[in-house]
Amino acid sequence: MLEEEKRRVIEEALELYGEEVKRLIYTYVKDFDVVDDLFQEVFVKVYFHLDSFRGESELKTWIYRIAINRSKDYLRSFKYRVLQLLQPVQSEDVESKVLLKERNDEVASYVFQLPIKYREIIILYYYRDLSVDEVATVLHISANTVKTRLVRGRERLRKMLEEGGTVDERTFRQG
Amino acid sequence: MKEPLDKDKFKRNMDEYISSHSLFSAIDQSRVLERIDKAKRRKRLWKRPKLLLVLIFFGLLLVIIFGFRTTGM
Repeated sequence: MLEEEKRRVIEEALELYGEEVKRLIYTYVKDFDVVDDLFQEVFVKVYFHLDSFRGESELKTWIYRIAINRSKDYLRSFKYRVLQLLQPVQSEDVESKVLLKERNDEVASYVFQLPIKYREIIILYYYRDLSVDEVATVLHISANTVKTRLVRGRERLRKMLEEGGTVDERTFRQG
Repeated sequence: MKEPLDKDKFKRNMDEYISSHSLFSAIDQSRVLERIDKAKRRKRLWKRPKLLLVLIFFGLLLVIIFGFRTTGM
């Protein structure tokens, strides 16, 4: 692919999917400062790997996959783990407690408390409007696994909504 | 029992939750393009190993010469 063509594709992709990719990254890392950096990295990677894009899936799905992989890499990184260790100190902040309380009636706040494996399925399926097969392609898992996780994720959400309390993500880590 | 995920409501809810902080702007676009250009420049240099070797060689030579000068040998 010619340089000019690559540039045109990347500019078009940024226009079309920039916003949704940014939001998608946020659903994983939950930190706006990190989102900007990862977002740029994702599109740089897309640019340099455009030649290897075989068109088996939609460009959007392919970019989603890169964004998700990069977000998960970040969540596995040493930097993130160190930040997580410091997290309890930050959560003592009164302002964030009030904000969390205000948001408790919102479904979104509960979705963000789900473990990643359920959260990502619910977000891709309900929020990003991907089909079960597309979610399976993006996450590299089978369609049946997507369906199972969708059912379990919904079930957990329903429980959380019924209980109405804040459920820490760590509560579900084992499951 | 209320259904946890009404699709439209959920989408609105998510948009509000993530807030306008994440809105994609022209600044984001220019930052990405800038980063691509930087990466391209870096790659261009690494694609020319001979040029890189010559630069390293001259660098080492300068270090040796200045090293001798400062130690007075």
